[in-house]
Amino acid sequence: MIRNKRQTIAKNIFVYGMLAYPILQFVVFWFSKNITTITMAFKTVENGQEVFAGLTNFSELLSRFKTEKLFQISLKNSILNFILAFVISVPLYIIFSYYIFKKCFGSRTLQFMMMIPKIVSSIIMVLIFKRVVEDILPMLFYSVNPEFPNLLKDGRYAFWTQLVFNIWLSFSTNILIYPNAMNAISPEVIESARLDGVNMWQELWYIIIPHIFPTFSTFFITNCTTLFVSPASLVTFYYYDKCPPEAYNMGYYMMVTVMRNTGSRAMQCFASAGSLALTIITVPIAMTAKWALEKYGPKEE
Amino acid sequence: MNAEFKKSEKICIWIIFTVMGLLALSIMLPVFWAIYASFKGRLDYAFDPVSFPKKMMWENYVKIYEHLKVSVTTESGQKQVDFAGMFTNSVVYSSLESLMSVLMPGVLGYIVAMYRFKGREFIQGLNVFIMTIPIITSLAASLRVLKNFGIYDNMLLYVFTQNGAFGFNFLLFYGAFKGLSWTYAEAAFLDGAGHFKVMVKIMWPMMLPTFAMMFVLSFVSSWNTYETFLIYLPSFPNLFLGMYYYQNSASINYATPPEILAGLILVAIPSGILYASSQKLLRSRFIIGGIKG
Repeated sequence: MIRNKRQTIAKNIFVYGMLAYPILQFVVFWFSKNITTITMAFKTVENGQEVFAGLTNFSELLSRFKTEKLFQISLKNSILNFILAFVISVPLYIIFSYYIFKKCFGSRTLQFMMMIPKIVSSIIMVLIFKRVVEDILPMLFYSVNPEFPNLLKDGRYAFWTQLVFNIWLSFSTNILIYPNAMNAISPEVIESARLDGVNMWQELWYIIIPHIFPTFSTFFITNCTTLFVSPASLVTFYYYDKCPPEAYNMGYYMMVTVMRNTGSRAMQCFASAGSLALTIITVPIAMTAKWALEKYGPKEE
Repeated sequence: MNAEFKKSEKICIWIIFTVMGLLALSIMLPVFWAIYASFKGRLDYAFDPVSFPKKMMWENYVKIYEHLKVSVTTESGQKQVDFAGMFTNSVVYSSLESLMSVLMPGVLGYIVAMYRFKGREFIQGLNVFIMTIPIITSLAASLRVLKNFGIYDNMLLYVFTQNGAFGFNFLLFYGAFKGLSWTYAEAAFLDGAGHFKVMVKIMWPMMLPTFAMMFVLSFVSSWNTYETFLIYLPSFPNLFLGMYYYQNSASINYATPPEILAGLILVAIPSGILYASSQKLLRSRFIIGGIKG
C-alpha cells in the first residue's frame, strides 16, 4: 500500500516535473503575446503615451477596407491564392504521392528532385527564380517579343507569377508526407481490392484517400488558420518596399505596416487590431472546415 | 513499370510520370544552372546567362567569402560580422534550435502518450485548439513581448524560450510513442529503474530514428532561415541573412549575379549534405495523423 503510494508520488513528480517547462513556456509566451495583441488593438498613442482608444483602430481598419485599394487587393489576393493553390495543388499532391507509393518507374529519383526546395533556403529558390524570370525568359523569348515584360515587377503579372512560384515550391513537403501516410495502409487491403477487380482510380478514391484523409484535413485546417497571416515569399522577393501593389497579400500588408513603422507605436497598435480582426474572420472559416471535413469527409471502413 | 497495373492504367501512369518528370526537371534545371552560372564571369554572364562558363571563375567564391559582411549595431557601437562570425551564428542557432524543437515536443509527446494523469485530456485538447485556432499574435506584439522579457536580440534566450512543445511536432511524437509497447518500461521498473531513466535510457532510444528525423528537418529549416534573424536577432546575423542583405544591395556593392549565386550555393552546402544523407530516414519516418477533438 505504502509502496504503491510512493510509486504514485514518484510518477506524479516525474510527470508534472517534465510538463512544467513546456506548459510554463506556453503560458508565458503564447498567452502574453496574444494578450498583448488584444490590449494593443484597443490602444493608440497620444502625447507619447499609449491610451485606451476603444474601437478607433478597428474603424480605421474598416475605413481602409472600404476605401484603400491596397488593402482590398491584399485581402482579395490572400483568398484567391488560398483557393487556387488548393484547387491546383492538392489533386497533384495526391496523384504524385500515389505514383511514389506504388514505387513506379523512377519514383525515388523524381521524389528526390522535387524535394530540392526543401533542402535549399527559400532565398536560393527565390533568387534562382528571379534570375530565370529577369534574365533567361527575356532572352529566350526575344525573337517573339523583344519587349518581354518583367513578370515579377509588372503589376499585370506579378501576382500570377508569385502564385506559380508558390505552387512550384509547395510539392517538396507534400510528396514526403502523403506517400508516408499511404505506406501505413495494410498491403493486404490493397491486394484483396485488386483481386476483386478495382482499378487504379477506384483504389485511389475508395482506399487510399480515406486512409490519408486525417493527414489531409490536418494540413487543410492549419492552412486555413494561416490564410491571412502568411506573407508567402513576398518578403524574400521584394523586401519591404519593392512589391508591386497588385501582388500584395494580407500577411505582407501587415508585415510591411509593422516593419516600416517600427518606431511608430500607433501603427503597431493598428497592426495588432488588424491581426485581431483577421483572426475573428479566420476562426469561423477554420472551424467550419474542421467540422465539414469530419462530418462529410471519407471514412475508413 | 509496376506489374499490377492493367494496360489502360499504364497509360495514366506514363502521363503522371511525364508531368512529374517535367515538374522535377523544372526544379532541377534552374538549380543546376545556378551552380554552373556561379562560375561565370561578369561579362560572360551579361552576354549569355544560359551557356556554360567560358572560364571557371573560382574567384567568385573567394570574393563572396571575403566580402560577405554585415554591419550590426550593438550596445558598444557598430561592428562588422564577417563570414566566419555568421557561420558561427548559423551553427550555434541551428544546433540549439533543433535540439529544443526535438526535446520539447519529445518530452510532452512521451508523457501524454505513455502516462495517465490529471490534465492529460486538457493538454491534448489544447494542442487541437492551438492548431485549429489561428495564432492572433501580431508581429508588433511579439516584438514588444520579447523586448519586455529581454529576449529580443539575445540568441540563447530566444532559442531556449521560443521553441514550443505543441503543434505538429507534438502530434508526430505522440503518434510515434503511442505505437511503442509499455512492456519495456515495466521490465525496467522491475529492475529498479526510475521514470526518468526509463524515458531517457529505454524508451527514447527506441525512437531514435524519429528524433533524428526531426532533428535533421529542424536543422535544415533553421539553417536556411533568415526572417528570425532579420526581425528578432538583428545583432546575430546568420549566413542567409548576410546573403539576403548582400543580394538586396547588389547594385551598391557591385556584386554580380554569378557572385551572388556563388554565395548562396556556398552557404547552402552544410544543410544540403545533411539533408541528402538522411533521405532514407525521412522517407520512412515523417508521418502526421489527424487532429480530432
